[in-house]
Amino acid sequence: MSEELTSEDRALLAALAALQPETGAPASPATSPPATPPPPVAHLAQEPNQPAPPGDGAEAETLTRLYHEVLGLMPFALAPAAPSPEAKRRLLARLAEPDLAGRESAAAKAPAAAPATLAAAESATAAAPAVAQAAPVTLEVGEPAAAPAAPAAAEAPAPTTAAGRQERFAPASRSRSASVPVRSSAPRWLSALAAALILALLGTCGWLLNDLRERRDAIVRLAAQRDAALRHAGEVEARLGRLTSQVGSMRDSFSVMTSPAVEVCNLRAATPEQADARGMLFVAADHQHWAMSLRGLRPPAGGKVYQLWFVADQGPVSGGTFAARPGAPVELGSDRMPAGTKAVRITLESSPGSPAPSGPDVLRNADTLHAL
Amino acid sequence: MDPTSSQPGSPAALSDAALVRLVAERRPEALAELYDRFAPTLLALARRVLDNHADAEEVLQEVFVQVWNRGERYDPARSSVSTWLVLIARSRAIDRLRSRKVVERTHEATAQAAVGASGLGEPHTSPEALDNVFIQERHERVRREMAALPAEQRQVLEMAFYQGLTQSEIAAKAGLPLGTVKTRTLLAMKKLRNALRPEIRQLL
Repeated sequence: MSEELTSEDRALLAALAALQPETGAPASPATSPPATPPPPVAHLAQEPNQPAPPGDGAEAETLTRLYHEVLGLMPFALAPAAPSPEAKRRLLARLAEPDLAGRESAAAKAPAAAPATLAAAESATAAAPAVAQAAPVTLEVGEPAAAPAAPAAAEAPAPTTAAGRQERFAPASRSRSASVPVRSSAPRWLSALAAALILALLGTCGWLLNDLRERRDAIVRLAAQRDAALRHAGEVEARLGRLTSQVGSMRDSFSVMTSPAVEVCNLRAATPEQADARGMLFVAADHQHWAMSLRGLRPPAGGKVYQLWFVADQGPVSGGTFAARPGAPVELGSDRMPAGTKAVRITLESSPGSPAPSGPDVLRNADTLHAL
Repeated sequence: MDPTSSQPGSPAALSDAALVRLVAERRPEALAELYDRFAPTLLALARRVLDNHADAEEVLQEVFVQVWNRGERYDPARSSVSTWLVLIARSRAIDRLRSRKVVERTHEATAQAAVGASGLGEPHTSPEALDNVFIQERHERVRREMAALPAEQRQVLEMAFYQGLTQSEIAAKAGLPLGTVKTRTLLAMKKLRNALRPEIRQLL
Protein backbone atom coordinates (compact mmCIF):
# COMPACT_ATOMS: atom_id res chain seq x y z
CA MET A 1 0.00 0.00 0.00
CA SER A 2 1.16 3.53 -0.67
CA GLU A 3 2.25 5.93 2.06
CA GLU A 4 -0.91 7.98 1.81
CA LEU A 5 -2.96 4.84 2.24
CA THR A 6 -0.97 3.90 5.30
CA SER A 7 -2.12 7.01 7.11
CA GLU A 8 -5.64 6.34 5.90
CA ASP A 9 -5.33 2.76 7.06
CA ARG A 10 -4.44 3.99 10.50
CA ALA A 11 -7.52 6.22 10.65
CA LEU A 12 -9.60 3.35 9.42
CA LEU A 13 -8.23 0.92 11.96
CA ALA A 14 -8.83 3.50 14.67
CA ALA A 15 -12.49 3.70 13.66
CA LEU A 16 -12.70 -0.08 13.70
CA ALA A 17 -10.87 -0.28 17.00
CA ALA A 18 -13.47 2.03 18.50
CA LEU A 19 -15.96 -0.78 17.98
CA GLN A 20 -13.90 -3.20 20.02
CA PRO A 21 -14.00 -3.05 23.79
CA GLU A 22 -10.69 -4.80 24.18
CA THR A 23 -8.73 -2.58 21.80
CA GLY A 24 -10.59 0.73 22.02
CA ALA A 25 -9.13 3.46 24.18
CA PRO A 26 -11.14 4.35 27.25
CA ALA A 27 -13.37 7.36 27.07
CA SER A 28 -12.25 10.61 28.56
CA PRO A 29 -13.11 10.97 32.22
CA ALA A 30 -14.71 14.33 31.59
CA THR A 31 -17.55 12.77 29.66
CA SER A 32 -17.69 9.28 31.07
CA PRO A 33 -20.11 8.48 33.87
CA PRO A 34 -18.47 8.90 37.24
CA ALA A 35 -19.16 5.61 38.99
CA THR A 36 -19.08 2.18 37.40
CA PRO A 37 -18.87 2.72 33.66
CA PRO A 38 -21.33 0.95 31.36
CA PRO A 39 -20.04 -1.92 29.22
CA PRO A 40 -17.10 -0.76 27.13
CA VAL A 41 -18.77 -1.13 23.76
CA ALA A 42 -21.76 0.92 24.81
CA HIS A 43 -19.44 3.45 26.27
CA LEU A 44 -17.41 3.80 23.13
CA ALA A 45 -20.59 4.19 21.19
CA GLN A 46 -21.16 7.39 23.09
CA GLU A 47 -17.62 8.57 22.61
CA PRO A 48 -17.13 7.67 19.00
CA ASN A 49 -13.87 9.41 18.29
CA GLN A 50 -12.04 8.64 21.46
CA PRO A 51 -9.24 6.50 20.05
CA ALA A 52 -7.30 9.26 18.41
CA PRO A 53 -5.56 7.97 15.30
CA PRO A 54 -1.84 8.23 15.42
CA GLY A 55 -0.07 10.64 13.17
CA ASP A 56 -1.55 13.28 10.96
CA GLY A 57 -3.61 15.18 13.52
CA ALA A 58 -6.65 16.95 12.13
CA GLU A 59 -6.57 15.13 8.79
CA ALA A 60 -6.42 11.77 10.45
CA GLU A 61 -9.21 12.78 12.76
CA THR A 62 -11.35 13.75 9.80
CA LEU A 63 -10.63 10.40 8.22
CA THR A 64 -11.48 8.60 11.44
CA ARG A 65 -14.73 10.50 11.56
CA LEU A 66 -15.45 9.57 7.95
CA TYR A 67 -14.90 5.88 8.60
CA HIS A 68 -16.89 6.18 11.75
CA GLU A 69 -19.82 7.38 9.67
CA VAL A 70 -19.24 4.57 7.16
CA LEU A 71 -19.66 2.08 10.00
CA GLY A 72 -22.73 3.94 11.18
CA LEU A 73 -24.28 3.51 7.75
CA MET A 74 -23.83 -0.27 7.65
CA PRO A 75 -27.17 -1.25 9.15
CA PHE A 76 -28.92 0.76 6.47
CA ALA A 77 -28.08 -2.15 4.18
CA LEU A 78 -30.57 -4.23 6.14
CA ALA A 79 -34.25 -4.27 5.39
CA PRO A 80 -35.88 -1.97 7.93
CA ALA A 81 -38.08 -3.80 10.42
CA ALA A 82 -41.23 -2.23 11.77
CA PRO A 83 -41.38 -2.40 15.56
CA SER A 84 -44.74 -3.33 17.00
CA PRO A 85 -46.97 -0.38 17.89
CA GLU A 86 -46.98 -1.68 21.47
CA ALA A 87 -43.21 -1.16 21.62
CA LYS A 88 -43.57 2.56 20.99
CA ARG A 89 -46.47 2.86 23.42
CA ARG A 90 -44.45 1.04 26.05
CA LEU A 91 -41.47 3.34 25.50
CA LEU A 92 -43.53 6.51 25.76
CA ALA A 93 -45.22 5.16 28.88
CA ARG A 94 -41.80 4.56 30.41
CA LEU A 95 -40.78 8.13 29.66
CA ALA A 96 -43.82 9.34 31.55
CA GLU A 97 -42.58 7.68 34.74
CA PRO A 98 -41.24 10.58 36.81
CA ASP A 99 -38.25 8.75 38.25
CA LEU A 100 -37.11 7.07 35.05
CA ALA A 101 -33.86 8.99 34.86
CA GLY A 102 -32.82 8.06 38.36
CA ARG A 103 -33.65 4.41 37.95
CA GLU A 104 -32.05 4.05 34.56
CA SER A 105 -28.77 5.63 35.57
CA ALA A 106 -28.74 3.41 38.63
CA ALA A 107 -29.40 0.36 36.48
CA ALA A 108 -26.54 1.27 34.18
CA LYS A 109 -24.11 1.23 37.09
CA ALA A 110 -24.85 -2.19 38.46
CA PRO A 111 -22.62 -2.25 41.56
CA ALA A 112 -23.45 1.34 42.44
CA ALA A 113 -27.15 0.69 41.95
CA ALA A 114 -28.14 0.49 45.59
CA PRO A 115 -26.48 3.71 46.74
CA ALA A 116 -27.70 5.57 43.69
CA THR A 117 -31.26 4.42 44.22
CA LEU A 118 -30.96 5.22 47.87
CA ALA A 119 -29.78 8.71 47.09
CA ALA A 120 -32.64 9.17 44.67
CA ALA A 121 -35.10 7.89 47.22
CA GLU A 122 -33.56 10.16 49.79
CA SER A 123 -33.92 13.26 47.71
CA ALA A 124 -37.43 12.24 46.71
CA THR A 125 -38.52 11.81 50.29
CA ALA A 126 -36.41 14.59 51.78
CA ALA A 127 -39.38 16.89 52.25
CA ALA A 128 -41.60 14.30 53.92
CA PRO A 129 -39.20 13.21 56.68
CA ALA A 130 -38.38 16.83 57.44
CA VAL A 131 -42.03 17.48 58.17
CA ALA A 132 -42.42 14.21 60.01
CA GLN A 133 -39.40 14.97 62.09
CA ALA A 134 -40.54 18.46 63.01
CA ALA A 135 -43.96 17.46 64.22
CA PRO A 136 -43.16 14.65 66.65
CA VAL A 137 -40.14 16.47 68.09
CA THR A 138 -42.23 19.49 68.94
CA LEU A 139 -44.87 17.29 70.47
CA GLU A 140 -42.48 15.15 72.46
CA VAL A 141 -40.66 18.16 73.75
CA GLY A 142 -43.73 20.19 74.41
CA GLU A 143 -45.78 17.67 76.35
CA PRO A 144 -43.34 16.74 79.14
CA ALA A 145 -42.37 20.38 79.52
CA ALA A 146 -45.95 21.43 79.94
CA ALA A 147 -47.12 19.19 82.73
CA PRO A 148 -44.43 19.70 85.33
CA ALA A 149 -43.92 23.33 84.38
CA ALA A 150 -47.56 24.06 84.98
CA PRO A 151 -47.29 24.64 88.74
CA ALA A 152 -44.21 26.88 88.38
CA ALA A 153 -45.21 28.84 85.30
CA ALA A 154 -48.87 29.18 85.86
CA GLU A 155 -48.85 32.61 84.25
CA ALA A 156 -48.24 31.10 80.80
CA PRO A 157 -51.57 30.28 79.15
CA ALA A 158 -51.64 26.78 77.66
CA PRO A 159 -51.55 27.07 73.86
CA THR A 160 -53.20 24.34 71.80
CA THR A 161 -51.72 24.71 68.31
CA ALA A 162 -48.40 23.28 67.20
CA ALA A 163 -46.99 26.78 66.91
CA GLY A 164 -48.29 27.46 70.28
CA ARG A 165 -46.58 24.41 71.61
CA GLN A 166 -43.33 25.64 70.12
CA GLU A 167 -43.94 28.97 71.78
CA ARG A 168 -44.55 27.14 74.99
CA PHE A 169 -41.22 25.42 74.64
CA ALA A 170 -39.42 28.67 73.89
CA PRO A 171 -40.37 30.42 77.13
CA ALA A 172 -39.26 27.30 78.94
CA SER A 173 -35.76 27.60 77.53
CA ARG A 174 -35.76 31.31 78.16
CA SER A 175 -36.74 30.69 81.73
CA ARG A 176 -33.82 28.24 81.95
CA SER A 177 -31.37 30.94 80.88
CA ALA A 178 -32.95 33.37 83.32
CA SER A 179 -33.19 30.81 86.04
CA VAL A 180 -30.19 31.99 88.08
CA PRO A 181 -32.14 34.26 90.39
CA VAL A 182 -34.69 31.55 91.09
CA ARG A 183 -32.19 28.67 91.25
CA SER A 184 -32.19 28.62 95.00
CA SER A 185 -35.92 28.29 95.06
CA ALA A 186 -36.04 26.00 92.02
CA PRO A 187 -36.80 22.45 93.05
CA ARG A 188 -34.43 19.65 92.02
CA TRP A 189 -37.03 18.20 89.80
CA LEU A 190 -36.33 21.04 87.35
CA SER A 191 -32.83 19.74 86.57
CA ALA A 192 -34.20 16.21 86.48
CA LEU A 193 -36.80 17.45 84.08
CA ALA A 194 -34.14 19.08 81.85
CA ALA A 195 -32.16 15.83 81.80
CA ALA A 196 -35.29 13.85 81.03
CA LEU A 197 -36.12 16.34 78.33
CA ILE A 198 -32.70 15.91 76.70
CA LEU A 199 -32.94 12.17 76.96
CA ALA A 200 -36.40 12.24 75.43
CA LEU A 201 -35.09 14.45 72.64
CA LEU A 202 -32.17 12.15 71.92
CA GLY A 203 -34.38 9.10 72.05
CA THR A 204 -36.87 10.64 69.72
CA CYS A 205 -34.17 11.67 67.28
CA GLY A 206 -32.71 8.17 67.32
CA TRP A 207 -36.10 6.63 66.81
CA LEU A 208 -36.86 9.02 63.97
CA LEU A 209 -33.55 8.36 62.26
CA ASN A 210 -34.06 4.65 62.53
CA ASP A 211 -37.59 4.97 61.25
CA LEU A 212 -36.35 7.10 58.36
CA ARG A 213 -33.72 4.52 57.47
CA GLU A 214 -36.28 1.76 57.51
CA ARG A 215 -38.60 3.76 55.33
CA ARG A 216 -35.80 4.42 52.87
CA ASP A 217 -34.96 0.74 52.75
CA ALA A 218 -38.60 -0.06 52.19
CA ILE A 219 -38.76 2.46 49.33
CA VAL A 220 -35.67 0.96 47.71
CA ARG A 221 -37.07 -2.55 48.16
CA LEU A 222 -40.43 -1.58 46.72
CA ALA A 223 -38.80 0.23 43.79
CA ALA A 224 -36.75 -2.87 43.03
CA GLN A 225 -39.85 -5.06 43.22
CA ARG A 226 -41.74 -2.70 40.98
CA ASP A 227 -38.87 -2.66 38.46
CA ALA A 228 -38.77 -6.44 38.46
CA ALA A 229 -42.52 -6.60 37.98
CA LEU A 230 -42.33 -4.07 35.14
CA ARG A 231 -39.54 -6.02 33.49
CA HIS A 232 -41.52 -9.21 33.80
CA ALA A 233 -44.61 -7.53 32.40
CA GLY A 234 -42.52 -6.20 29.52
CA GLU A 235 -41.19 -9.67 28.76
CA VAL A 236 -44.63 -11.19 28.85
CA GLU A 237 -45.94 -8.42 26.65
CA ALA A 238 -43.08 -8.94 24.18
CA ARG A 239 -43.77 -12.68 24.09
CA LEU A 240 -47.45 -12.03 23.58
CA GLY A 241 -46.63 -9.60 20.78
CA ARG A 242 -44.48 -12.23 19.09
CA LEU A 243 -47.15 -14.88 19.40
CA THR A 244 -49.79 -12.49 18.10
CA SER A 245 -47.58 -11.71 15.15
CA GLN A 246 -47.11 -15.45 14.49
CA VAL A 247 -50.82 -16.07 14.68
CA GLY A 248 -51.34 -13.14 12.32
CA SER A 249 -48.83 -14.61 9.84
CA MET A 250 -50.47 -18.02 10.03
CA ARG A 251 -53.91 -16.51 9.58
CA ASP A 252 -52.68 -14.58 6.53
CA SER A 253 -51.21 -17.73 5.04
CA PHE A 254 -54.32 -19.74 5.84
CA SER A 255 -56.62 -17.17 4.29
CA VAL A 256 -54.56 -17.21 1.09
CA MET A 257 -54.45 -21.02 0.97
CA THR A 258 -58.21 -21.31 1.45
CA SER A 259 -59.26 -18.36 -0.68
CA PRO A 260 -61.53 -19.04 -3.67
CA ALA A 261 -59.77 -19.61 -6.99
CA VAL A 262 -56.41 -19.96 -5.26
CA GLU A 263 -53.66 -21.08 -7.58
CA VAL A 264 -51.37 -23.78 -6.25
CA CYS A 265 -47.93 -24.33 -7.64
CA ASN A 266 -45.48 -27.03 -6.62
CA LEU A 267 -41.85 -26.19 -6.02
CA ARG A 268 -39.24 -28.87 -6.71
CA ALA A 269 -35.59 -29.18 -5.80
CA ALA A 270 -33.34 -27.68 -8.42
CA THR A 271 -30.15 -29.26 -7.16
CA PRO A 272 -29.31 -32.85 -6.27
CA GLU A 273 -27.60 -31.56 -3.13
CA GLN A 274 -31.01 -30.63 -1.71
CA ALA A 275 -33.08 -33.35 -3.33
CA ASP A 276 -35.44 -33.47 -0.34
CA ALA A 277 -36.37 -29.82 -0.60
CA ARG A 278 -39.90 -29.16 -1.81
CA GLY A 279 -42.59 -26.61 -1.35
CA MET A 280 -45.92 -25.21 -2.39
CA LEU A 281 -46.84 -21.71 -3.46
CA PHE A 282 -50.41 -20.48 -3.04
CA VAL A 283 -51.40 -17.40 -5.00
CA ALA A 284 -54.73 -15.71 -4.25
CA ALA A 285 -57.04 -14.67 -7.05
CA ASP A 286 -55.93 -11.06 -6.74
CA HIS A 287 -52.41 -12.19 -7.74
CA GLN A 288 -51.00 -10.13 -4.90
CA HIS A 289 -51.46 -12.19 -1.77
CA TRP A 290 -49.33 -15.29 -1.64
CA ALA A 291 -48.21 -17.89 0.86
CA MET A 292 -45.41 -20.39 0.57
CA SER A 293 -44.65 -23.47 2.60
CA LEU A 294 -41.22 -25.07 2.26
CA ARG A 295 -39.96 -28.37 3.66
CA GLY A 296 -36.62 -30.16 3.70
CA LEU A 297 -34.39 -27.12 3.21
CA ARG A 298 -31.05 -27.45 4.89
CA PRO A 299 -29.85 -24.56 7.05
CA PRO A 300 -27.68 -22.37 4.84
CA ALA A 301 -23.95 -22.55 5.47
CA GLY A 302 -22.11 -19.66 7.14
CA GLY A 303 -22.76 -16.23 5.68
CA LYS A 304 -25.42 -17.50 3.24
CA VAL A 305 -29.16 -16.98 3.09
CA TYR A 306 -31.93 -18.28 0.90
CA GLN A 307 -33.48 -15.68 -1.36
CA LEU A 308 -36.85 -15.88 -3.07
CA TRP A 309 -37.23 -14.48 -6.59
CA PHE A 310 -40.35 -13.73 -8.59
CA VAL A 311 -39.46 -13.91 -12.25
CA ALA A 312 -41.58 -11.24 -13.94
CA ASP A 313 -41.47 -9.39 -17.25
CA GLN A 314 -38.74 -7.08 -16.02
CA GLY A 315 -36.64 -9.99 -14.76
CA PRO A 316 -36.20 -11.50 -11.30
CA VAL A 317 -37.50 -9.40 -8.39
CA SER A 318 -36.43 -10.29 -4.88
CA GLY A 319 -39.22 -11.50 -2.62
CA GLY A 320 -37.09 -11.55 0.50
CA THR A 321 -34.40 -13.58 2.17
CA PHE A 322 -34.83 -16.21 4.84
CA ALA A 323 -33.06 -18.85 6.84
CA ALA A 324 -34.06 -22.44 7.45
CA ARG A 325 -33.69 -24.59 10.53
CA PRO A 326 -33.19 -28.33 10.56
CA GLY A 327 -36.50 -30.18 10.48
CA ALA A 328 -38.56 -27.01 10.69
CA PRO A 329 -40.85 -25.89 7.91
CA VAL A 330 -40.44 -22.41 6.49
CA GLU A 331 -43.63 -20.43 6.03
CA LEU A 332 -43.49 -17.26 4.01
CA GLY A 333 -46.09 -14.90 2.72
CA SER A 334 -46.83 -11.35 1.75
CA ASP A 335 -49.48 -9.21 0.15
CA ARG A 336 -47.36 -8.14 -2.78
CA MET A 337 -46.26 -9.98 -5.85
CA PRO A 338 -44.82 -8.32 -8.96
CA ALA A 339 -47.22 -8.09 -11.89
CA GLY A 340 -46.52 -10.59 -14.62
CA THR A 341 -44.79 -13.14 -12.39
CA LYS A 342 -44.28 -16.27 -14.45
CA ALA A 343 -41.92 -18.27 -12.34
CA VAL A 344 -40.52 -18.57 -8.86
CA ARG A 345 -36.96 -19.40 -7.86
CA ILE A 346 -35.15 -19.80 -4.58
CA THR A 347 -31.40 -19.32 -4.68
CA LEU A 348 -28.60 -19.48 -2.16
CA GLU A 349 -26.99 -16.04 -1.78
CA SER A 350 -24.41 -14.38 0.41
CA SER A 351 -25.95 -12.57 3.37
CA PRO A 352 -27.70 -10.09 3.41
CA GLY A 353 -29.02 -11.02 0.00
CA SER A 354 -28.28 -10.09 -3.55
CA PRO A 355 -29.83 -7.51 -5.89
CA ALA A 356 -30.07 -10.19 -8.61
CA PRO A 357 -29.85 -13.98 -8.46
CA SER A 358 -26.19 -14.94 -8.39
CA GLY A 359 -26.06 -18.15 -6.39
CA PRO A 360 -27.20 -21.65 -7.31
CA ASP A 361 -30.92 -22.42 -7.67
CA VAL A 362 -32.23 -24.54 -4.81
CA LEU A 363 -35.95 -24.70 -5.61
CA ARG A 364 -38.02 -23.64 -8.57
CA ASN A 365 -41.61 -23.97 -9.67
CA ALA A 366 -42.56 -27.32 -11.16
CA ASP A 367 -45.96 -26.16 -12.44
CA THR A 368 -46.65 -23.24 -14.68
CA LEU A 369 -47.96 -20.11 -13.06
CA HIS A 370 -51.04 -18.98 -14.94
CA ALA A 371 -52.31 -15.52 -15.65
CA LEU A 372 -50.06 -13.72 -13.25
CA MET B 1 -30.94 14.86 7.98
CA ASP B 2 -32.59 17.68 6.13
CA PRO B 3 -35.94 18.97 7.19
CA THR B 4 -38.77 17.11 5.56
CA SER B 5 -41.79 18.61 3.93
CA SER B 6 -43.78 18.38 7.14
CA GLN B 7 -45.39 21.27 8.95
CA PRO B 8 -42.77 23.79 10.07
CA GLY B 9 -42.38 23.72 13.83
CA SER B 10 -43.58 20.14 14.18
CA PRO B 11 -40.98 17.62 15.31
CA ALA B 12 -41.13 15.96 11.91
CA ALA B 13 -39.75 19.14 10.35
CA LEU B 14 -36.68 19.24 12.58
CA SER B 15 -33.21 17.92 11.88
CA ASP B 16 -31.96 14.86 13.78
CA ALA B 17 -29.59 17.02 15.85
CA ALA B 18 -32.35 19.49 16.74
CA LEU B 19 -34.48 16.58 17.90
CA VAL B 20 -31.69 15.30 20.15
CA ARG B 21 -31.37 18.77 21.67
CA LEU B 22 -35.09 18.75 22.42
CA VAL B 23 -34.79 15.26 23.90
CA ALA B 24 -32.14 16.64 26.24
CA GLU B 25 -34.78 19.16 27.30
CA ARG B 26 -37.06 16.21 28.13
CA ARG B 27 -39.49 16.66 25.26
CA PRO B 28 -41.15 13.28 24.64
CA GLU B 29 -42.53 14.30 21.25
CA ALA B 30 -38.95 14.79 20.03
CA LEU B 31 -38.00 11.30 21.18
CA ALA B 32 -41.13 9.92 19.52
CA GLU B 33 -40.07 11.52 16.24
CA LEU B 34 -36.52 10.15 16.53
CA TYR B 35 -38.07 6.77 17.22
CA ASP B 36 -40.23 6.98 14.11
CA ARG B 37 -37.21 7.89 12.02
CA PHE B 38 -34.71 5.37 13.29
CA ALA B 39 -36.51 2.54 15.08
CA PRO B 40 -36.99 0.40 11.93
CA THR B 41 -33.29 0.63 11.09
CA LEU B 42 -32.16 0.04 14.68
CA LEU B 43 -34.58 -2.86 15.09
CA ALA B 44 -33.24 -4.43 11.90
CA LEU B 45 -29.71 -4.01 13.28
CA ALA B 46 -30.58 -5.57 16.63
CA ARG B 47 -32.39 -8.43 14.91
CA ARG B 48 -29.38 -9.06 12.72
CA VAL B 49 -27.13 -9.25 15.78
CA LEU B 50 -29.48 -11.23 18.00
CA ASP B 51 -31.52 -13.23 15.46
CA ASN B 52 -34.52 -12.83 17.74
CA HIS B 53 -37.30 -10.31 17.33
CA ALA B 54 -38.36 -10.08 20.97
CA ASP B 55 -34.80 -9.53 22.18
CA ALA B 56 -34.25 -6.97 19.45
CA GLU B 57 -37.34 -5.02 20.50
CA GLU B 58 -36.05 -4.94 24.05
CA VAL B 59 -32.72 -3.60 22.83
CA LEU B 60 -34.64 -0.95 20.90
CA GLN B 61 -36.37 0.11 24.12
CA GLU B 62 -33.06 0.28 25.95
CA VAL B 63 -31.53 2.41 23.22
CA PHE B 64 -34.25 5.02 23.33
CA VAL B 65 -34.38 5.06 27.12
CA GLN B 66 -30.61 5.67 27.05
CA VAL B 67 -31.09 8.48 24.54
CA TRP B 68 -33.80 9.95 26.75
CA ASN B 69 -31.55 9.86 29.80
CA ARG B 70 -28.30 10.89 28.16
CA GLY B 71 -29.40 13.01 25.23
CA GLU B 72 -27.32 15.89 26.52
CA ARG B 73 -24.16 13.84 25.98
CA TYR B 74 -24.60 13.77 22.24
CA ASP B 75 -21.81 15.77 20.58
CA PRO B 76 -22.43 16.66 16.92
CA ALA B 77 -18.68 17.23 16.46
CA ARG B 78 -18.05 13.56 17.13
CA SER B 79 -20.70 11.80 15.07
CA SER B 80 -23.97 12.23 13.28
CA VAL B 81 -27.13 11.41 15.21
CA SER B 82 -27.73 8.47 12.91
CA THR B 83 -24.31 6.97 13.63
CA TRP B 84 -24.59 7.75 17.33
CA LEU B 85 -27.86 5.84 17.53
CA VAL B 86 -26.60 2.99 15.39
CA LEU B 87 -23.52 2.49 17.54
CA ILE B 88 -25.51 2.63 20.78
CA ALA B 89 -27.90 0.03 19.39
CA ARG B 90 -25.05 -2.14 18.15
CA SER B 91 -23.32 -2.03 21.53
CA ARG B 92 -26.49 -2.87 23.41
CA ALA B 93 -27.29 -5.73 21.05
CA ILE B 94 -23.77 -7.19 21.20
CA ASP B 95 -23.76 -6.89 24.99
CA ARG B 96 -26.97 -8.87 25.08
CA LEU B 97 -25.60 -11.38 22.59
CA ARG B 98 -22.57 -11.96 24.78
CA SER B 99 -24.62 -12.24 27.93
CA ARG B 100 -26.79 -14.97 26.52
CA LYS B 101 -24.00 -16.86 24.78
CA VAL B 102 -24.40 -19.80 27.09
CA VAL B 103 -28.13 -19.98 26.62
CA GLU B 104 -29.31 -22.26 23.87
CA ARG B 105 -31.48 -20.26 21.57
CA THR B 106 -34.87 -21.59 20.59
CA HIS B 107 -36.77 -20.36 17.63
CA GLU B 108 -40.22 -20.67 16.32
CA ALA B 109 -40.08 -21.94 12.80
CA THR B 110 -42.58 -19.64 11.21
CA ALA B 111 -42.46 -15.97 12.02
CA GLN B 112 -38.79 -16.05 12.85
CA ALA B 113 -37.77 -17.80 9.67
CA ALA B 114 -37.63 -14.80 7.44
CA VAL B 115 -34.75 -12.39 7.91
CA GLY B 116 -32.64 -10.09 5.83
CA ALA B 117 -32.88 -7.72 2.92
CA SER B 118 -35.30 -7.92 0.08
CA GLY B 119 -36.60 -6.05 -2.88
CA LEU B 120 -40.28 -6.36 -2.06
CA GLY B 121 -39.88 -5.93 1.64
CA GLU B 122 -39.47 -8.71 4.08
CA PRO B 123 -42.32 -11.18 4.17
CA HIS B 124 -44.95 -9.99 6.62
CA THR B 125 -43.03 -6.81 7.27
CA SER B 126 -44.98 -3.66 6.75
CA PRO B 127 -43.86 -1.96 3.53
CA GLU B 128 -44.49 1.30 5.40
CA ALA B 129 -41.84 0.39 7.98
CA LEU B 130 -40.08 3.56 6.90
CA ASP B 131 -42.17 6.57 6.14
CA ASN B 132 -39.24 8.94 6.04
CA VAL B 133 -38.20 9.34 2.45
CA PHE B 134 -34.61 10.37 3.29
CA ILE B 135 -34.01 7.30 5.36
CA GLN B 136 -35.73 5.14 2.77
CA GLU B 137 -33.32 6.43 0.15
CA ARG B 138 -30.38 5.93 2.51
CA HIS B 139 -31.42 2.31 2.94
CA GLU B 140 -31.61 1.81 -0.78
CA ARG B 141 -28.20 3.36 -1.49
CA VAL B 142 -26.36 1.60 1.30
CA ARG B 143 -27.97 -1.73 0.41
CA ARG B 144 -26.86 -1.29 -3.19
CA GLU B 145 -23.29 -0.42 -2.23
CA MET B 146 -22.99 -3.21 0.31
CA ALA B 147 -24.28 -5.68 -2.24
CA ALA B 148 -21.67 -4.41 -4.70
CA LEU B 149 -18.82 -5.38 -2.37
CA PRO B 150 -17.12 -8.70 -3.10
CA ALA B 151 -18.68 -11.33 -0.85
CA GLU B 152 -15.46 -12.10 1.00
CA GLN B 153 -14.92 -8.43 1.87
CA ARG B 154 -18.50 -7.98 2.95
CA GLN B 155 -18.25 -11.07 5.12
CA VAL B 156 -15.33 -9.85 7.24
CA LEU B 157 -16.86 -6.43 7.65
CA GLU B 158 -20.17 -7.89 8.76
CA MET B 159 -18.49 -10.27 11.18
CA ALA B 160 -16.75 -7.30 12.80
CA PHE B 161 -19.83 -5.15 12.88
CA TYR B 162 -22.67 -7.52 13.65
CA GLN B 163 -20.86 -10.13 15.72
CA GLY B 164 -18.49 -7.75 17.50
CA LEU B 165 -15.46 -9.85 16.58
CA THR B 166 -11.90 -8.56 16.52
CA GLN B 167 -9.78 -9.03 13.41
CA SER B 168 -7.98 -11.93 15.09
CA GLU B 169 -11.27 -13.56 16.06
CA ILE B 170 -12.53 -13.22 12.52
CA ALA B 171 -9.32 -14.77 11.20
CA ALA B 172 -9.74 -17.71 13.57
CA LYS B 173 -13.43 -18.15 12.83
CA ALA B 174 -13.15 -17.85 9.06
CA GLY B 175 -9.92 -19.86 8.91
CA LEU B 176 -8.07 -17.03 7.19
CA PRO B 177 -4.66 -15.48 7.84
CA LEU B 178 -4.93 -12.32 9.95
CA GLY B 179 -3.29 -10.28 7.19
CA THR B 180 -5.94 -11.36 4.71
CA VAL B 181 -8.73 -10.37 7.10
CA LYS B 182 -7.16 -6.96 7.62
CA THR B 183 -6.63 -6.37 3.90
CA ARG B 184 -10.19 -7.35 3.09
CA THR B 185 -11.58 -5.15 5.83
CA LEU B 186 -9.51 -2.16 4.73
CA LEU B 187 -10.51 -2.63 1.09
CA ALA B 188 -14.18 -2.96 1.98
CA MET B 189 -14.16 0.13 4.17
CA LYS B 190 -12.39 2.22 1.54
CA LYS B 191 -14.79 1.14 -1.16
CA LEU B 192 -17.74 1.96 1.05
CA ARG B 193 -16.26 5.28 1.98
CA ASN B 194 -15.91 6.27 -1.66
CA ALA B 195 -19.26 4.87 -2.70
CA LEU B 196 -21.17 6.40 0.20
CA ARG B 197 -19.51 9.81 0.03
CA PRO B 198 -22.78 11.64 -0.79
CA GLU B 199 -24.57 9.94 2.11
CA ILE B 200 -21.78 10.81 4.53
CA ARG B 201 -21.78 14.40 3.32
CA GLN B 202 -25.50 14.57 4.17
CA LEU B 203 -24.80 13.25 7.62
CA LEU B 204 -21.94 15.59 8.48
